[in-house]
Amino acid sequence: MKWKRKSATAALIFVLLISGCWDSMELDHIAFIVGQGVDQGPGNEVIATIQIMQPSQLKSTQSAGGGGQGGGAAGTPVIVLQGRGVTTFDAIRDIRHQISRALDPTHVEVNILGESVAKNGVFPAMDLFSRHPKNRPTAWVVVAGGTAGDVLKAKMEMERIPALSIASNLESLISGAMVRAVNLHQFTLMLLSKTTAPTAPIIRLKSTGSRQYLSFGGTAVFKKGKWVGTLNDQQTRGMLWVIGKVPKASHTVVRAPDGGPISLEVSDSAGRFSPDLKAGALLVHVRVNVTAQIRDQYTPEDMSKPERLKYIEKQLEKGVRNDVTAALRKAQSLRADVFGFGESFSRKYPKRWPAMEPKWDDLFTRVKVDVNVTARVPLTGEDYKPLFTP
Amino acid sequence: METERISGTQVTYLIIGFLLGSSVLFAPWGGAEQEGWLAVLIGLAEGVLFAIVYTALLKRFPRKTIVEIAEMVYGPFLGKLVALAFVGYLVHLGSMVMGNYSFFLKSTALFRTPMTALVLSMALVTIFAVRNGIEVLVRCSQVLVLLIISVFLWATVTLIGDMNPQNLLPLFSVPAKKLLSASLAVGAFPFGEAVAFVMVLPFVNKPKTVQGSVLRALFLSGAIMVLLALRSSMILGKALQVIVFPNYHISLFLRFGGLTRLEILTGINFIFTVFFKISTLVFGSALGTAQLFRLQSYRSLVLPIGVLIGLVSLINFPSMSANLNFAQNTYPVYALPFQFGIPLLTLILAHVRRLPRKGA
Repeated sequence: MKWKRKSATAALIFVLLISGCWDSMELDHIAFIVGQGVDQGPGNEVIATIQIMQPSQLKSTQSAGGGGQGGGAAGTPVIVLQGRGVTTFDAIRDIRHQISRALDPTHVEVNILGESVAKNGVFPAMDLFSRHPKNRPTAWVVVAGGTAGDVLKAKMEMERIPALSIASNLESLISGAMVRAVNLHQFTLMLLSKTTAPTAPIIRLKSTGSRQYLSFGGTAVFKKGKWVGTLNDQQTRGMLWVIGKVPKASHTVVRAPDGGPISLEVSDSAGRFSPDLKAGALLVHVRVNVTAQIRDQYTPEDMSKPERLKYIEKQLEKGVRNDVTAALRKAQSLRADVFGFGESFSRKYPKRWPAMEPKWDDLFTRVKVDVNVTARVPLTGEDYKPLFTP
Repeated sequence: METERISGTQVTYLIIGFLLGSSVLFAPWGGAEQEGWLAVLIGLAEGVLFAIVYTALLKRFPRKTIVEIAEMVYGPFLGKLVALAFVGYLVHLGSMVMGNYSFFLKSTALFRTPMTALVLSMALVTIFAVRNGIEVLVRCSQVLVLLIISVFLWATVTLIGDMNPQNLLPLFSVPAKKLLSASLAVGAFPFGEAVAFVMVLPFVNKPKTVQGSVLRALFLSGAIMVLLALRSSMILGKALQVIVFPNYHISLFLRFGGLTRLEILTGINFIFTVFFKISTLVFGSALGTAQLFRLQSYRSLVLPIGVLIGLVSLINFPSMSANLNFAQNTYPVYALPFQFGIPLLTLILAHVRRLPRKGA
């Protein structure tokens, strides 16, 4: 009889198991959000815009594309929806009523903060992204010049999923040193810092004729969670030199002795800074090492001669120094420590820091920066001499 | 009364699984800001001190649990009272761990599943395991603890790219008071909690090796926790103060080739360790109660005590923040008598009364 009791118990346990999992959610009941944006409407209303994947579309257009039709006639495999509410979560839940599937933010690629939100303070909008366990900290954060809704609604040329397009555009632009890409985690860290001013790249919807496109340009600088100023491309690059984030494959243009431009592609760069209080004033030593290659030249001079290469290196050093100075001037005029100098002072001088912290905004405007650049241009590409010599 | 025998190595594995318990997820060292690793080391020293006391007690009374020892040392009435308090602590601790477990799952992954279902499933597994005896539990730990540690090490190596050593600076700048309170928190949760093993260690086949096994487990899990503290500080920086489950949050950064969202690996790790912790506590309190009432076997008590732990966890947790607040501020004081006070007092009294007497 014992085996009967045992098998009865086992059967009962199986009854418990086969009833399934409360939270089970099959793929065909989920709508994956790939991009989400927050705007502020009239009267503190929150407008959330999300871009969700439509996997069935994705599949059908792929097979159609294989047939050589081209042109993406079948339309984009995403749906853009908008909802309104008093909080971000409320607004996103408003969207939930419009579609048949559960919204799932586990694969968000990009979070977009509309200009109105950025100018009025991003903390409330960021709260959901950081708090909700399904959001991921590695998704990018960008600021829209205009509304996040327009950015998410834009039609794309190269990629069929606009949010992925923004992400890959951002990733490719990082290598162009035009933007300082930040993900949710990095942005949160900067928001939490008492002295560092958070930054985020700006994306704008532009149009030439009938062509609409999204373009990154400049860096939004935040103070106390509010967008207070913008760094242009040169200033952004200056900031990137200082924090050592200028990547390989970014380019810069220098002038030959006769004024003809020469473009250089950075093949290696390293930047670091160290604070110094010894001289009584606030000093930051910035050290940049950069190695570049010649990509093209609009001058007939033969740049392969060692002394000419020396000259280019000097020009490159000057260019880096100018970038850094421009970034510093702009940051100081905004009273916004975009470099994280404050954090580095707090690490190196923990004893003196508590007295400095409350007045850091003032102190930052008085920081002197000593830039030390070493540039090397050891390679000239596949051509040794310029193609055209008059 | 029980004839089960386990080896010192096996118990070391179980203690590691037990100690990694909830701390795989929380960062009880969070109060020390970037110096969490230091708080872990100081807390470890505290835990080692506690361990030396209670293992000395077990050495003095080989093959006896704290319940039997207390009755010998304090006399039948007072001894029962002390033992009852200790068993009560084990049950309460079990319910707290159960609460952490169910709150964690509810807030990160299983939003719609009722708390009762989460608690019930864990309670059933632990009851099942403990009813099969301590030998089964330690053998289980031999397999799973190695798995837990390898997953943890793999994740750590994968995350090296996200770490910023600058976040650990400046060194030695956290106010001593903050550091000390964080250290006490780590000392009590988890290191001091190993005191629950006074109910398990009497089953070790060579009573003389018990102290070595416990200390080895403390040092190994301490090393892992130092790594955890360094890792969470380096990756999260100041955000460490804001996040409820820092070590889980870190695993959101995990990436393996094109695979993302691997955080469930940390979740599974956590569930395994919680299983060891609750099982040990269920075993301890069931055995303790059985010895209190001189029952033939503890096995009949496993089911009621497992259910009790589950029920207490359901009614005793108003919110996660209340729980965290309790763990950081109240718990180090509340747990001190059980982790250190009772064993020390018993040891001193035993010494004064020259117990155990020969032939007694």
